[in-house]
Amino acid sequence: MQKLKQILAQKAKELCLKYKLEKVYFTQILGKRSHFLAGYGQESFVRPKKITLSDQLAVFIEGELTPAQNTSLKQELIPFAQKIKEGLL
Amino acid sequence: MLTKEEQLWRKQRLEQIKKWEQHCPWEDFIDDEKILHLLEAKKQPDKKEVLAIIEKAKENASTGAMLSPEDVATLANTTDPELWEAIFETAYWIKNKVYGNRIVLFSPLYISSPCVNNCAYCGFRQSNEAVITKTLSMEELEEEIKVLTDMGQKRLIVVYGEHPQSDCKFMCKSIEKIYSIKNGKGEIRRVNVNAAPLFVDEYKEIKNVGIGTYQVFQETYHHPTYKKMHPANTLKGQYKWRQFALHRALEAGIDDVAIGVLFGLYDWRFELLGLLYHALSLEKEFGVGPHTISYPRLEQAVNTPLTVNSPYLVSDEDFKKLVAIIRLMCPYTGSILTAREAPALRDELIKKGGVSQMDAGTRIAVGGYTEMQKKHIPDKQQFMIQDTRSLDEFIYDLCKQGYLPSFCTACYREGRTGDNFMPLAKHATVKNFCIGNGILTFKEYLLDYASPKVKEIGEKQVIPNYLKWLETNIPKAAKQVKLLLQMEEQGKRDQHL
Repeated sequence: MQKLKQILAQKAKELCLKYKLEKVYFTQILGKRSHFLAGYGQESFVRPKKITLSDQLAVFIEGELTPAQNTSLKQELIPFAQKIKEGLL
Repeated sequence: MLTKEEQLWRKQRLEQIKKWEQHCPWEDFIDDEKILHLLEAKKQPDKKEVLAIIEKAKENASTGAMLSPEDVATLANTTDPELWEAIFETAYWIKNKVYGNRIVLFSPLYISSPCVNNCAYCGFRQSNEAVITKTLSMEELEEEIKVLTDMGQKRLIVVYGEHPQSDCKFMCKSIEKIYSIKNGKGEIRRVNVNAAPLFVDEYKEIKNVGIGTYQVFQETYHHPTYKKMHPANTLKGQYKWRQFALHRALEAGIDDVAIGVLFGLYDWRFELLGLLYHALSLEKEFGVGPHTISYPRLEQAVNTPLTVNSPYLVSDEDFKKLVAIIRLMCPYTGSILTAREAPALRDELIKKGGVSQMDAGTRIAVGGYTEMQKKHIPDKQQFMIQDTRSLDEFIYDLCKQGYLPSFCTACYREGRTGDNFMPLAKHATVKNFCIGNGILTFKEYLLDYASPKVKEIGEKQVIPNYLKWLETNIPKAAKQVKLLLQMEEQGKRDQHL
């Protein structure tokens, strides 16, 4: 779990810097609970955008994204989440 | 009298617990002698010292630091009424600094009362034949949830006895059932759990059904009293097993845990230090302190003489003091005041104790919400409750005093849990979410459940006041909340930050 959290924290940092986002964090989906795993950035106190990446993993994003950036981010994250699921990372 | 099956279940579990205790990886963090010595050493506190601790507590509200055991012993021994007024004011100030002027509302839901333990103070102890115990069927549970959601409740603390009928599998099943129920626009969005200590693998199962917080109260931290209250051959008789219940929960990945004491079993000053040492141990081992602290006071229970003749019963005056000290001691934690206490005292303690969460419309008999129309049912209850105001009446009283009633359950559904929640509470910024989400959930209540008088005060005074606060402090969030309020008016629900 610790290694997974490190990978997710690193990814969150990469995304924050690449897309100039205020905060990015990953959570484990447990029924209604989004269980925090790891993240990066500063809290902006607005509703984060949730992207469900798999049945167990979601990412929350705070900050503005253009539609093109949104697509690019999803394209980047879906294979990443797949690798996480398969335990390849 | 336990059946053979119950005895066997208890025996097998006790063996496993004792085995765990033999290999417990943590050191007992309660040194009775040290605490007693500390309380003695700080018997006559110096005024300057008390004032300095008050200042330190204020500073801690923005850093998340806790007071030291010496500080807490000093406050607990303070007698000067002027200093107490300063402590009460500070408790209120800290609560507002961290959480804002909102009060989070919840309901306790007793799902099962049969218990294999025999605790001297508990109406549900297995030898108490004057109380009728019961475990809800899934159908009965659904009925209870319908009543609760019809009232407007969104968050629960579910309570289980320690018994084979209400084991970990049953707990998971009942929590999943609760989450699955939709009742018109109503639903339960957060289920917190108050139950017996579990093994790590069991906690993992509970975690997977998406609970909010897991509560285990030590009841008393004082070893000899613990031993006296909890017979040795029972599961609850194992001090260390219970002391590290939440360490195991955190080990299992449940990162919102809650501690508490049953005040009245031993000296309240000692117990305050017990709570502090518990919080410090959680911080030290896991970097996450208690999500909430509860401080139920021993209340009269049927055929349970200790509840009226304990030499350590806490007076109202001392109770106010201990609630305020908890706020100063651990500024970031949620502080839960229940309907065990009388309405006037509860109202006073919001101001003097820095309370942040309260229940209302409470029934504590198993199946009690479906029997709402009837009076309280003493022979089915663990103890008696004193605040019998309905949820709507309670909310009206909060509104009259200018508080924001909140049904917020946003944090744990937006990933603000554990390491992501604690910095918000520790740096006193969580209110930036609390106020917006309080407004949104209160608006839902006004739209769907409120009486005309609550609607009137809510729409005309409470919501505008808190929107103004948000506009001044977090304009971006205020803009978002206004949009979400419009969506609620158009029929959308569960809007939150």
